[in-house]
Amino acid sequence: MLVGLGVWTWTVTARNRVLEARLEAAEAVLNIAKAEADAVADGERYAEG
Amino acid sequence: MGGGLGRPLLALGFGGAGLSLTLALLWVPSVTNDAFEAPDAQRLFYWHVPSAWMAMIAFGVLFVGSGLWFLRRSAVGWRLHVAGSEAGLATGLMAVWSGCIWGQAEWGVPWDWTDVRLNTFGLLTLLALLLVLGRRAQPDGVESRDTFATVGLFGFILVPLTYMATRIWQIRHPGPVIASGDDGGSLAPSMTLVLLLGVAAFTVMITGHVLESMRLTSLEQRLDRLQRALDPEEVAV
Repeated sequence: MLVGLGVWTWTVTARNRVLEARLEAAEAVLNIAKAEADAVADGERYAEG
Repeated sequence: MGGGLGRPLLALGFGGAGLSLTLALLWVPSVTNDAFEAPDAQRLFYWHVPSAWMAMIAFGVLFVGSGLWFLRRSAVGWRLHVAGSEAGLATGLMAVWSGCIWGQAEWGVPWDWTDVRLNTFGLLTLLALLLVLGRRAQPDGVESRDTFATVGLFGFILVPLTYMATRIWQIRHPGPVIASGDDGGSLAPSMTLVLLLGVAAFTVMITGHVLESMRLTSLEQRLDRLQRALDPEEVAV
């Protein structure tokens, strides 16, 4: 039971780590500030919808 | 946004869950043969009840998130919706399969289609499955989010129905054993202690999971935006 719980937990944290790494790489390539990306994630994309 | 707190909470909750399950197996006294058909299987109680508790928290998060998205187009609300549906699916399945195993041992059948509690909880878990799979199958957009948020809002009616089911129609699933409103319940003090420890640990864990899942959605949104910037042709389309 605990193993199953651990796998679920590990899956979520591992996906976060992978995304963080990909995001940092993309931000570095585009030279985009994190604050700008945060603003988009916080809802500007759908603000007009 | 949750990145600093989610992982410590997950670690704390996981440790607490391990401790409570260890105590449940090694320390808590067994129940009598008179009270249960399968006294050994009764120890699943310490997993089954906290799992169901976590699921109720997750479905509450789903409801709040769905409402925030539907009424305010809140990005945080959408993240809550996503986190609540994924956590609801995982914890719902934890409660359902442990209940099926316990039911097979105690009742002789894993499921009873006439028991309201079992079926409303099963529907809640299916609702979470629908939301998780549906979101992966549809392109992300305002319309699809509205649809899923509506399902989350209306589906929440099953939560109070599930909670009240054994109080109104006690068919096969037992009624509440603590906080039942009469003499404080029917559990021995040591059993109550381990159960409450498990509930507290699982609550911390589900909080960590929701925070991590919200962060995951935020990262996916940021990455999606950056990938569009990296691929101007996709933006033009």
